[in-house]
Amino acid sequence: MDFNLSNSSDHPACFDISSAKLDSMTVSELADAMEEAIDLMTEEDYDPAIIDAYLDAMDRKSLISGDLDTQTSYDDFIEKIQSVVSIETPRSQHQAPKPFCYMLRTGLVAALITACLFGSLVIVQASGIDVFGAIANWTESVFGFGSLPSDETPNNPSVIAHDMGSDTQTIPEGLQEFQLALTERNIPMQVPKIPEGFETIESELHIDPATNDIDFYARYMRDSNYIVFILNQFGGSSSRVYEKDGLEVEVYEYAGVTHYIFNNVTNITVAWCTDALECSIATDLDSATVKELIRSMYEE
Amino acid sequence: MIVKRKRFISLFMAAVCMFLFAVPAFATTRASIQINQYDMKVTPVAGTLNIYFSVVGNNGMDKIGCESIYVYEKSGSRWVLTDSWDEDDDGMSRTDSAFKTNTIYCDSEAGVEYKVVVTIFAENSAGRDSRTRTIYVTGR
Repeated sequence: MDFNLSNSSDHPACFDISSAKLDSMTVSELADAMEEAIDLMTEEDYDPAIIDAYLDAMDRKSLISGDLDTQTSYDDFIEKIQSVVSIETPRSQHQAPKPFCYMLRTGLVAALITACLFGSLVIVQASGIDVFGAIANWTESVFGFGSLPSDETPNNPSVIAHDMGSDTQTIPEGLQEFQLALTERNIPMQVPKIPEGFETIESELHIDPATNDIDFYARYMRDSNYIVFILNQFGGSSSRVYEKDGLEVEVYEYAGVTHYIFNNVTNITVAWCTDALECSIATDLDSATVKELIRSMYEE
Repeated sequence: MIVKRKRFISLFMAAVCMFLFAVPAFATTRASIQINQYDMKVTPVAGTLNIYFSVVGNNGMDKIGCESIYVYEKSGSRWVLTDSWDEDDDGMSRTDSAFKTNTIYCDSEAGVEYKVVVTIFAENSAGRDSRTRTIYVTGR
C-alpha cells in the first residue's frame, strides 16, 4: 500500500486508533479521520476495528443523551420558539372562528368577485352587447336599441312607400296624416308638446307597403334653437344607431317608460322604445327642457 | 408555500380587475357634429333587394342622405360589383334638410349571395361626416 504518511510511522495517522488520540479529537475531526481511513482502505486490507473505534469514540463524545424524551424535546422546542416569536396555542376543536375575521374575509372575497364581474360587464357593455338593460345598449360613441355598427347581420324588412319629398310642410298637415297612420295601427298618439315660439320647419311620413311600418320625422325651430322628433316603427329588432360622445347616458324613468338621455357634441338626444316603436328627440336645448318635453308627451 | 400561493392569486385577481377597469377607458370617442342617427337595412324580396337608408342630422344640413351604395354579387370566392349609386342619383340625398329616408331597389337572383355597402352622410358648413354599413344577404 502506498499510504500518504502524515507522521514518522509506516501507516497514515488516521489508522492510529489509540484511545488517547481518539479521545483528544473532536467529533468533526473523528468523522474526517474515519472518512480518510475508509478512503485509504481497500477490500483486501479493510479493517472493521478501525471504523468501530472511530464510531465508539464519536459515541462517547455525542451530545445526545441516551434517555431522549420526545415530549420533553418538543416542549423545549416550543419554549425556544416562543422566546423568539409569539405562537398561538392550538385552537380547541370546539372553539368557533372569530366572527370579525370570518366576515372580513368573506367581505373581501365578495368585493373582489363583484369588482371583477362589474369590470367584465362594463367591457361587454362597451363592446356593444346589452348587459345593463334588457333593451338599450351603448358604447362610448353610439347608442341603439338593437345591433350596433360592429354587427353586420342582415337587417329587418323596411320599404319606403310614401315620401313627402323635400318640400317644407306645416306640421298640422304632417301630424294629421301621422295621427291617421298611428290610429290605423292602434298606436297611441304620443308626441312632445313643443314649447311656445317654435315653428315647424319640415316633416315627413313614410309607410312601408310590405311591412306597413311607419317612419315620421319633424323639425321645429325657434331662433337658433331646434327640436327634431323622430318615430320609427319596426318589426323584429332595431338596427338604428345614435351618435353620442363619451359622457354618461342618463336613464330617465317616466310614466313607466325608460328614456335614455345622452350627448352628441353640441346636442342632446333622448331615445326610448315602446313595443315596436322607437322614438327620439334631438335638440340643442338643455337637459331640463328635454325632460319637460318627455313629461309633456304623457299629459292627458 | 400556501401563503405564497394566496398572495399570487390575490395579486393576479387585482391585476385582472385593474385591466378590466382600464380597458373601457381606451374605447374610442367618436360622436358627430353632423350626424344624429342613422339606419341602413337590406331586405331581399322576390327578384329585388330593397336597400333602405335613413339619416337624421343635428339640425338642418346643407346636404344629407346616402353617399353611395355598392352591390356586390358573389362569384366563386370573389365579390363582383354589379350595381352602384352615388349621392347625386335620384332619391339619394337632399339639400337644406335635417333628415333623408329612402329605399333603393336593386335586381337580384334567388339563391345568390350579395354584399351591399351603404354609406350615409350629412354635410354642413363645418364639414361632412359619414357612416358605412356592410350587409350580407341572399337573394330570393
